Amino acid sequence: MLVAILQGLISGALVGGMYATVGIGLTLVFGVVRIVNFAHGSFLMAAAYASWLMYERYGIDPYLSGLILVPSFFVLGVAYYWGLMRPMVGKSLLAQSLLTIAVGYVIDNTALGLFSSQMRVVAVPYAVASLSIGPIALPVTRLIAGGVGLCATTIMYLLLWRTGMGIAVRAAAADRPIAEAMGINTHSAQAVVTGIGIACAALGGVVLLPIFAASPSMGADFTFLSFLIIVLGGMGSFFGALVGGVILGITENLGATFFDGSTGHMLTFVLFVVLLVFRPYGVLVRRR
Amino acid sequence: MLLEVRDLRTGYGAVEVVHGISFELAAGSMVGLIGANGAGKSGAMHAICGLLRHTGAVLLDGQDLARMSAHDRARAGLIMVPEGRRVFPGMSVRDNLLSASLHRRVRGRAQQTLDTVFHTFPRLQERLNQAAETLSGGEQQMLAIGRTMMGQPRVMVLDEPSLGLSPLFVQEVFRVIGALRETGLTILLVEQNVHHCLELSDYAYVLEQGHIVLQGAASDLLVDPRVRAAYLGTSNQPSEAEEVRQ
Repeated sequence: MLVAILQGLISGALVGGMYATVGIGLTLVFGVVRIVNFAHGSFLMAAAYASWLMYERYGIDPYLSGLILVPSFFVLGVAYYWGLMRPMVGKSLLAQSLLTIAVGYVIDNTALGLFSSQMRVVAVPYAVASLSIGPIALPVTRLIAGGVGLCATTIMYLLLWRTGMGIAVRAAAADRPIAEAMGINTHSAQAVVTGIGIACAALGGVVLLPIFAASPSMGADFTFLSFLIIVLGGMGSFFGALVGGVILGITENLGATFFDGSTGHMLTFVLFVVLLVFRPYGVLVRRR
Repeated sequence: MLLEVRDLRTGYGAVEVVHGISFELAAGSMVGLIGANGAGKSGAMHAICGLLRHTGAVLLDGQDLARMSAHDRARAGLIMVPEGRRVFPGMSVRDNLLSASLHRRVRGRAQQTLDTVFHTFPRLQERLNQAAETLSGGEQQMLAIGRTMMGQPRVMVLDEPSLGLSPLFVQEVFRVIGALRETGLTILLVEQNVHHCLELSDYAYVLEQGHIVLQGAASDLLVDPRVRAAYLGTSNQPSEAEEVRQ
């Protein structure tokens, strides 16, 4: 029993590290561009399918395909900003939301049309490998997810708080007209942030593919998951998103250990409702 | 002329508030733009800096900036100190300062410019890692001016720098503006504090309801009966109180 709990905790926390990265991708775009990207999870799903396809067709290792996919999705995100989001900057919440929801639908249903609703798994040999520490077995794929998630979060933190680009991005988020008046090309800053946000989603898709499986419903699932994480951690907080991601990963995992997969999934939403009632600004913030 | 504005028209939405004004600044000079609340001063400043749509020409050293975006105008050297300070909240004093020196023309000299800013405002150096919004109003105004200095402006547009400051800080701000002027910086000063503005400026324009109604050497306007009656609240002769202050 104790071992099972411990196993569930660690295993969940590792996946949670990756969830955090995906969540940060969403909150970053929202914080800077001020548009809620409801298609966030759909980009993650698209990356997962692309990774699966590269494995099926060319036998490229899913982690290796990430080296191609993450930069490609960065470019895709930049194009997404210039092509679709930029005209919506400063428009009504409804117009912005409808646009990103529509993009999500198009991606989700394209996936459904191309790949059907069947779950697609990558049958890599190391998918079942695990590292044993005493009685606890840690799957290698989850260890990788936790490690990559932590690295990605750290890199984004440094990028945002320790570089000139980070200053430009934060200034554009704080006061767009004045940032412009100080010589910052705010549209470029927002395009780069959207690129990073979408790249985070793609990283999530690639790294989580060997743990779960690719399916068209993954899109909507992960969009909601990302919202959960950032509400749990408090909007716009990096450290909060990390905590939120880990809490979510653990809840889901413990639920799946003691009940079944769908109950675990349901528990995360119960947690969400409970938190919204008692801690509406996140677990780390008492009130604002 | 370093800055030449010709037939500038601008407004908010469909409402035109500036009806074709023209003015100019010689290099190294300080020009004042005075007028009552709602005369269109702020609108005109936002327009020349690219934050409001406008027609007419904005020539910086002969180059027309009228079709450029706000950030390109700032990069070219026409940089404002916005009304109400507008420092970036949630960012440290250091990051606020550096935000204006990210583009190619000034990036390489950021450290030297930072030293100049610290020399002008030693207090900013003491508060370097503090969040900008925790500074006092006067300190925020210093930060806003310092931030614009970081962009190495060719023309600094000061929009109501004394607004909302305590009398002590008003004196300090005008002392700093005077000092900046001494360094050879070209300054366009928009002020409600007409007396101070005219005392510091070489030349001034009076804006009323979107039109320039009067212009001339600042020293002449200071004693002009129309200006005195409308903006200084005194008769032809300087009042006793003003004499005492001087």
